[in-house]
Amino acid sequence: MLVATRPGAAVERVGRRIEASDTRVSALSTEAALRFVDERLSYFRQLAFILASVSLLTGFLLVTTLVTVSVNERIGEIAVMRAIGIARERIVLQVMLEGLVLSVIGAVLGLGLGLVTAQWLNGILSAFPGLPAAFDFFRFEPSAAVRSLGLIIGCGIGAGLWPAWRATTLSIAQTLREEAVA
Amino acid sequence: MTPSHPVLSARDLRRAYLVAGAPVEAVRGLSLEVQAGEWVAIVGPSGCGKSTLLNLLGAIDRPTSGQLLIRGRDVARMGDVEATRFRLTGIGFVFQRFYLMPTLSAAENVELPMAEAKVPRAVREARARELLTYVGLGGRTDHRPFQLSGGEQQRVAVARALANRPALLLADEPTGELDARTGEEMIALFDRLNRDGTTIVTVTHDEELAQAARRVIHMRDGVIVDDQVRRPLDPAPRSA
Ligand SMILES: Nc1ncnc2c1ncn2[C@@H]1O[C@H](COP(=O)(O)OP(=O)(O)OP(=O)(O)O)[C@@H](O)[C@H]1O
Ligand SMILES: [Mg+2]
Repeated sequence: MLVATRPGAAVERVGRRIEASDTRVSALSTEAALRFVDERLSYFRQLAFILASVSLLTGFLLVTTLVTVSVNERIGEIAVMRAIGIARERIVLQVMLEGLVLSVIGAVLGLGLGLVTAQWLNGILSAFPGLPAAFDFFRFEPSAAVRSLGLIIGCGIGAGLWPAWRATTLSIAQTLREEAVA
Repeated sequence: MTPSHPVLSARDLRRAYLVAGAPVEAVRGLSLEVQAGEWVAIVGPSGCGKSTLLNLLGAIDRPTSGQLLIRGRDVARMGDVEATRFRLTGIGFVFQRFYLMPTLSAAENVELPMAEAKVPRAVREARARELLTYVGLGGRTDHRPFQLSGGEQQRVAVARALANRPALLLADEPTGELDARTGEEMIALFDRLNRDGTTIVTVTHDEELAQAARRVIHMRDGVIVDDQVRRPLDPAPRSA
């Protein structure tokens, strides 16, 4: 049953009056009802946030590891480039770019996979009996995708920092010497 | 340029490494002058400090003390940016293990230092081709390092070292990884380079390479113990 109040009326007080008049009825203002639904949904939001953070951290560590391994593998090459006069900035740029490219590839693959999975899950969940036909469990929000992409690009740049720093602070003579022994 | 203008002048150079907390001197008070047009071979027992000295001369390592002037510039006091720039344009390096960039073609390897020095593309492409032809690889410009033999890779490395017309060519055991015949070809290339005016300092165990140089320096325990000019410089051309 819907009860309309005059504009400016104290909604909560009206609700209490209604509840007092009949104990079988509980009154819920629209605001309270929305809050109620929101609380339930916030649980899912928190879960999604935690999952997203864990994936981001894992991705960050993975990209850092990949770039570090690739730098270690080419440490002799990098020392030679420095020896023949290639500037530090160019090497930093190259290493960071590598992290960025890896991250962006990951982001694009992840987005595609996410969309497909969401659609699949949506299909299963929407098949539940008694749900309105136009009910969607997952919705693609461009703004959220852009925000995530920005975050991932930031992480990709961050992931290259440590290996890039390592690559350019190496002692050229020492590295060449170690490479010659290896 | 005055006839006796030194390309390189080192005074009381020292380089100590910290080994287990205690300094160990690999180069201990070494003085040396190299004139333009010379070809110097540095020889001596393993561990006597030859590579350490060459790294100092090439500004990829810094002396603990002493003075080092190359073309009148104080290399020992350069910061990293300046030293990097100096290596790019003033020094050519040839390493024992060639060390070409594996993903680049021969021509691209030679172009690399020129690109870094912002030489226009057309100029550097032409110069790379010219240099590769000079070292006898005119037909191999598009080959990747793995498609080349060791001797050919070392020729590409020489071409790369010469790309920015350095005042000084430094080579640490340039024939160390080559067989006798390819080594001889490399020596012949160095000889031709030197006759064409390149100042060269090589570190070597290769007796034949040392024999071919104009001047042979013997090192022991971080100092020069013998210094002999075997073939004096041709009289400097008179300038008007
Ligand atoms: N980074 C380093 N840390 C500690 N000691 C070093 C280092 N580099 C070189 N040395 C020491 O300095 C000395 C000189 O080494 P260097 O490599 O200059 O000799 P070398 O004459 O080139 O020998 P080789 O003919 O075997 O190449 C050696 O005793 C070496 O162990
Ligand atoms: Mg050595």
